[in-house]
Amino acid sequence: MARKLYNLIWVALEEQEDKFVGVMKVGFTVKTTKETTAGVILYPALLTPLVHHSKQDAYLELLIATAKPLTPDMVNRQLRISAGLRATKQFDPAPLFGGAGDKIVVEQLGGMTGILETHEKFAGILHPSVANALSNKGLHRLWKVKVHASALQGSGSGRPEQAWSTSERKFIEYTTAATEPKIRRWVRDAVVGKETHDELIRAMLERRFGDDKRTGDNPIPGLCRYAFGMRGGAVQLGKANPDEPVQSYHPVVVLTDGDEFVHANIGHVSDIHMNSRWQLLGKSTARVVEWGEGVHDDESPRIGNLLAETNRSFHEVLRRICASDAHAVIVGGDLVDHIRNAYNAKTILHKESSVRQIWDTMDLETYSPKTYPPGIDLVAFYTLILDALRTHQKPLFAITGNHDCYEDAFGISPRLRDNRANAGIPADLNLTFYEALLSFGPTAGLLVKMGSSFDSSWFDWFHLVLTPFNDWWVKLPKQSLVGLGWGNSEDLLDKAGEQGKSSGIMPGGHLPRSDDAISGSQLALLQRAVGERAKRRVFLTSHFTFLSYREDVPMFPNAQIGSLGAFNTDVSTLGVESYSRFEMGTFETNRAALLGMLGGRQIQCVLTGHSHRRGLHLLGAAAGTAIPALLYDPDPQGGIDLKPLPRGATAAEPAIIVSDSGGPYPRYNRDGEFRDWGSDRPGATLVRVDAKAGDITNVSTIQASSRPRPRAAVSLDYMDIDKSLIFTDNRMIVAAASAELDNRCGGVPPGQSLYFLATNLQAEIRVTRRIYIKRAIFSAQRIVAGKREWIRIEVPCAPAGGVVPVPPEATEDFRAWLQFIGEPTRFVSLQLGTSDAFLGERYDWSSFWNFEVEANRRFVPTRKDAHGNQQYQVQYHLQRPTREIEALLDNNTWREIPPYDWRVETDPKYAK
Amino acid sequence: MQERLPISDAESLALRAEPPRDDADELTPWQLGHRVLADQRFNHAVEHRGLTVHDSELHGFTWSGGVVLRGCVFRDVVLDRVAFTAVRFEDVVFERCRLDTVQLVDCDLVRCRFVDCDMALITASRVRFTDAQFSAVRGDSWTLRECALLGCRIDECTLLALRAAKSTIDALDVRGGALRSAEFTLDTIGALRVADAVVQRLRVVGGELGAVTLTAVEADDLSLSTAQIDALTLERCPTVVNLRVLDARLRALTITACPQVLGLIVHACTLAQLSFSGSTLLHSTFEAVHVDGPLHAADAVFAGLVLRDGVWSTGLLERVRFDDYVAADHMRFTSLQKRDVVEGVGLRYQLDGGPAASGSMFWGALHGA
Repeated sequence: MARKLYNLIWVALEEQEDKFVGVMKVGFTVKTTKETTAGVILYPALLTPLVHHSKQDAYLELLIATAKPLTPDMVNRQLRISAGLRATKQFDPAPLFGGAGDKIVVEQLGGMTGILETHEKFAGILHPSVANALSNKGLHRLWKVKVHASALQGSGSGRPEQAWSTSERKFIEYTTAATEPKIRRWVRDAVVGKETHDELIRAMLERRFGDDKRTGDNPIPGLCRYAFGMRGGAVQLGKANPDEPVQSYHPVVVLTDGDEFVHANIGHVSDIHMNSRWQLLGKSTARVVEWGEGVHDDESPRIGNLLAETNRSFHEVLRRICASDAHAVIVGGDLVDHIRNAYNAKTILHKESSVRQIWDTMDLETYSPKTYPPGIDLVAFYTLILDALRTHQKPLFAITGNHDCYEDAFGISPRLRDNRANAGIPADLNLTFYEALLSFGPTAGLLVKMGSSFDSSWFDWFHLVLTPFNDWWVKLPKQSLVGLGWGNSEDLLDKAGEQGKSSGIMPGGHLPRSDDAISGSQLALLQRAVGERAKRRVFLTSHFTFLSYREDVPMFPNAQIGSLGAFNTDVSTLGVESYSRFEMGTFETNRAALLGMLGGRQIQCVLTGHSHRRGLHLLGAAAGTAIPALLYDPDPQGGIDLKPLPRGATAAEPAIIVSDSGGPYPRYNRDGEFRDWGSDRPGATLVRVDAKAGDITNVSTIQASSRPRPRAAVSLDYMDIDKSLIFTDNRMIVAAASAELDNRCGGVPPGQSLYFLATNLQAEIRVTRRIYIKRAIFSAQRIVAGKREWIRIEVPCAPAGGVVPVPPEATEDFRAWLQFIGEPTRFVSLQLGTSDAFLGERYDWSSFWNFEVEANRRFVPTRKDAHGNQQYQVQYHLQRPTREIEALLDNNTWREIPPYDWRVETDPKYAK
Repeated sequence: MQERLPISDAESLALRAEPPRDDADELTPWQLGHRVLADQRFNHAVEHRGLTVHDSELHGFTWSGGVVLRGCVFRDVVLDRVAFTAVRFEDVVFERCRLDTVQLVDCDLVRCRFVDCDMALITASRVRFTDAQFSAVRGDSWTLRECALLGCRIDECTLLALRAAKSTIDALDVRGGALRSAEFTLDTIGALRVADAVVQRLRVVGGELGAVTLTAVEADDLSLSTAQIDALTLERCPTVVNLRVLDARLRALTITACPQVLGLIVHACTLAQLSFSGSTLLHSTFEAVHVDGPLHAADAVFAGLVLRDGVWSTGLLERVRFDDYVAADHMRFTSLQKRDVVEGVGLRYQLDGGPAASGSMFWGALHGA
């Protein structure tokens, strides 16, 4: 490997020196303590590391906040360089150099509020929470520092090292044993960093997560002071790692032969949404159709086995993007779903949890600091990112997203009807609505906080631990990376604009926008970078978007001309909430200036996330105030080459990119196959540039390809619930010849079918998407002699569709299924297939789509018989519960909520 | 329309913790009008008496911590994404309000009235409604879990998707309006009386019910299953389509003066008494029922009737007409009396799964086990 990782440490060693006291030669020598200062290294930081080209860069550059005036000598004695990112902060106690000389340059900076800049390689704007923390600690002075790179040579040289850390006894682990169901808490010796920065972090952790005691409200091992252990791709929620404190790091990534670059390929992973409770939900043994243990597992498996857990997906995405030919990787915000999350040691430790235990663990009605403590996912993110940094030794950068300060948790489908907020969560997890709701439990629809959960004060964790900079400008040899943080508020209501009409979002609601970005200081930082674009071309990154199409706008395969949208640079329309469907989740301030930069092609590339839907947007030539923008699919199969340009495009830059979500399953709409509700595996974006010329050559998605494919059943479920686009009139139909025969009167000749099934798939599904039903299974529980027994009828279906007979031998069971089921146990299980090659390859079609239905008996008058009796044909409308009523009333509140209480009452598996 | 302004700090303080008091330090009525309260969480113990909130909006508001509202009025107020936890409402009136996504947990509502309100996505857990009245309310998607409704009335309301589970209802009177897609799961209901209303898709699953009475109701798609029901009575209902009683224990099923009962299914039920009078039943099925007491049909028409399996007691048919088909498969009455029974022209008979040669043979077989 041609990369090496170092960590900078600010120490305060008590060193003595001989000091001459007197005049001329008259006097004496006394021992005095060398002067030191408390200090915090601001740059580099864990996720704003220093990228050092060993052949090009003579100096290491730092920004330091101190209590006392800083001198080169202090830097020489107090700055230490440690090989690797060792939690114990091992260092060579010798000064960096024999004397500071010209090897260390120190210059004072102004206040904390403006742009802080190193000598050459970095500029950034401190987050106010860090500025406050520094001030409160008396660290008022800011310095830019240059240290000759030869200082690196001393570290890791094998000389005896000291540790700038100590150890203390900490509660760090839960254990249990099969023979001993009691959960025990264990205390271990654990590492505690000694830097002033670590003290600031600990003070914040203490304030945020409670006292550093063994017991108390915070049930998380390590009390959010320690990373979790890791096993495979998952964090071990029951076990903190005592050797991995949440503390400060100041990495220097040193690039040597082979890894040095002129123009860097940039990786971008965003919208991770770490959510550790999904790890627990993955243990759910609930099944939609409770056939019994081991029976028909292929048709209705345990929901936990279907769930695609976000943390594990992120682990793989991160691994793949770091292992790609990206020279640096940007983490684009929304690291976590929400700050507080479900925690229950028993559920974590026990391999198998009862459905009830999972429900209790998820329960939002008993929401408290004990059941939903803060910080789990922040720590889980920290665990994974530190692991990636150590493993791949590549520079990782990060900015904030709006979710990073969402304090309170919410249900898995918190709002129903047309004001369904976060409707995508089940699909994020590769689950249907019913599956998600059933596994989560009765509080699946609750919001803990009815208003916005956005609390910008929570950004303090991000900025004290990951990087102190809200906004940053990293100067690579020929490129500028500019990262802009989210801001202090969000806007998610839009009474006038068309964004609120988007599916899955409450009326007037939309993907949140940052309303105070881009702030004046952010703009100033960016303008500085843009001003130097002749020297370094600009990559701009933020969580909020600059151009992102609403989900119903499709992409087209094979780099075909994409959907056409437009930037509107007419400033007179701005600020009135009239954002277009091409501006989902964007920003609201200083738009004219930013759009002007993009329209003027002053920015080479924009990397954003937020909308969980990848896209490459290329701008055409401006016409008046509108700039046309084309949408392309930077797919995982090679992506989009920008040299030569794809058809329809007139320029490769700015390449405005939105990445897929890196944890949840992202939305995907290629060619409109599932409208807004197609999905793909989680992924990241890799932007490749010409190593010499610096032009962007290719944009592609790096995908978690070992994760399960998105289930077609999930997309179909959403199409059905959200769009009513699966079945004509939202129903399948079973027809019987007459009311008389349906009442088993008159008799049907042996071997003849009485019932006929019309699957009723709509033309869009059947013809356009070439989707057909492979297997249709009808199940229900009927009560026989006081006991519930399953009925199961398989009706053979033909790819051609149409009307198929229910096998004659199944007539009696099918009649019972139609007529005698009053409890919510009547299900249809469909296994679908497609002859569309793309869909067939992209989605998992083996997984069944299971949903509860009712059979609404309808008497259709036909004729009167010879005796004047009105004759009726009978039809059964097979519909999801309440669908008929609500379709009639143009209301889509229909029930996808499982009958929790009924299951608890009737199935021991769900009992308390 | 007067502009609605954000609630001031003083008003917020008054609402949250320190309502106005008079010289004697007693709580005094006060008003809050034309205000917007957004994204607030109040968590203080406070009591309000005579507070009137009008022409205002509460968005994203959470109220908990020991709140008591007495004699308060909410008039022309939007409550959107509002959560009340352990709040006691006494004599509170909601008038012309719009409630959308409102969560009530562990609350107590005593003598509260909801008048001319739109109420969608109301979730109530462990909430006690005592003498609550809903008048001219348009409700959509109410979910009640482990609640108690005592002496509540619903007048001229249109309720869509009301779901009550594991709740206790002593008596619920629904008069006028419409009840669509209501579900009662595992509830204990003393009396459910619905009159002069439209009932479309009603599900009762499990639980114990006293008297269920539908009077002058247009009913379509009603299913009662695995429940214990004292008496199910339909009277003067112009249409009853697809009424199904399944796997239930039922003391009495009575259908009186209902001119069109289409597609009745009674399956695997235990009944003490069956009574049809002045009604027309089309394509009805009684299958695997255990009828301990008498079947009494008077002044009734059965067009398409199937009796199959099960155990039957006595039958008395008075002035009854049979049309289309009648089947008696593997069931017999202990005794059957017929008075003025009319058999329609072309009536077909089925006995024990096969065609009966004649009516006399059919009725003869049915006469006694």
